Amino acid sequence: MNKIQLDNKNIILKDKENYLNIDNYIELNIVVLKNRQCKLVILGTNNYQLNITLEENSSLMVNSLNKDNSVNICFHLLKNSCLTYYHSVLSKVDSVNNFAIYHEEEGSQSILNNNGINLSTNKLFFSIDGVIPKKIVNINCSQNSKIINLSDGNSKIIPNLIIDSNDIIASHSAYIGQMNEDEVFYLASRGINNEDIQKLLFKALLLGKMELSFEREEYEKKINEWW
Amino acid sequence: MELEIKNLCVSVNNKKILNDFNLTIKKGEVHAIMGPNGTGKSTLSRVLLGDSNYCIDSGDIFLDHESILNLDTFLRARKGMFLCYQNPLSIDGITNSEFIRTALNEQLEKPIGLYDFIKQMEQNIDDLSMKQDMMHRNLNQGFSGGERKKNEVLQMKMLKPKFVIFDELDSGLDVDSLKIVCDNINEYLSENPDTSVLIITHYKRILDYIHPDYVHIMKNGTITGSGDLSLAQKIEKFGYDEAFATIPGEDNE
Repeated sequence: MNKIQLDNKNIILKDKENYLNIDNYIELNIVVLKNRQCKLVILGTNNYQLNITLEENSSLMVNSLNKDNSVNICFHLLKNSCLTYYHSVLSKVDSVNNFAIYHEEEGSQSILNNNGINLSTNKLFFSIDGVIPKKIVNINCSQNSKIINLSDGNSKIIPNLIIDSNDIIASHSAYIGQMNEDEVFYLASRGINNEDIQKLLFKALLLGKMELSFEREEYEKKINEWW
Repeated sequence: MELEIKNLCVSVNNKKILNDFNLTIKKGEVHAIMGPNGTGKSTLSRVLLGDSNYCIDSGDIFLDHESILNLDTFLRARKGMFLCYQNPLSIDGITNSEFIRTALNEQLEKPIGLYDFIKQMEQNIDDLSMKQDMMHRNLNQGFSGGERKKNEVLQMKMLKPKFVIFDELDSGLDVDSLKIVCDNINEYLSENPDTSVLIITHYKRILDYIHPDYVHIMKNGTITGSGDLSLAQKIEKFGYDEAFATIPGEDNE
């Protein structure tokens, strides 16, 4: 695992596994080199801005766990590159999460999964733009977002697919609501109290879809701390 | 554990589902309820566990002579009630072992040690002829229908309830799996003879493995007739109406 040092604004991902701990505001340019397959793990407790470029035939999987922050992330996907991004937020202050995915060359794929828990009466926004310009073909662009409101928070999901090309596959899903009643009943019927049900289901929402490896322990520890 | 359901009327969205329902299951007894589709059998199981989607219009439910109507679902479970679901849910992101260990620790004064927990799980998984990796997989995620049912029985064996409801346990189980599951249940009942059981089923085959003390016919939200295992045989042979007509002393008009 490569721990990324934040004294440099330009990061080139070379290692398979990379870890980025963001506890001060930063703006970073990240490049995944041609033909590389990389994984980036982010732990974010402050606002940040990322500009991520995936060069030809590269792939990047990002697991990103965040608390009480806002992010602006812009992706540039070059030929046949593949992005899988899991962005999870636990928030009790206003949190605005903007994503822009530019499919700049043919054959690129993006899957963006946003999951958030709005703990209080704050804002929690996910805004996602998937952009496919003219003549850029053979693209797969998918966005899935889910927010669980625990209180009367102001949550919003704005999924945009700006498509100016044929021969592409694009999809989005968005859900804002309460915990799934059937799941709550199932867990309660095994004697688990409401607080522990919330803990289990929220951990499942924040981490459930991620392919976790070395970061699992730290992520679970952080969720327990933040709760 | 003794369960007594007294004059229970239950509705959902102003539609009556259970209608003056009465049933007493004494400590250690096995009862089976059979009935046509849509007659309220599965509703009964969820009402017993306190599903708040159903409105109790009148009547009461007693567990060991104490009313449980005001108890939340998790408290009913901690008193020893267990529902083995017809269609167990899958939840991504919660592993089977994490779920069962959390549930187990909720009922223990001192949390179970990891070594003891894993040992018990491994033994029970073996007994049920399940794959050991089920322990670390997400709850019912990617499990077949039969694996989900086995997983329900695994939970029962780990949590050791005193009143168990099996809601269509046999659906989704092949012949061999049904035998394995029922052997495990019978073993559990012989080790825990005070445990009472309510089996909800459409078919007699599960009753060939787990022998009920009483069989009831349920229709339109109430029990319309009761008998022994021979009633289940008649239901299978003749259907509900004709079987009901053979029950002595019932008003079969």
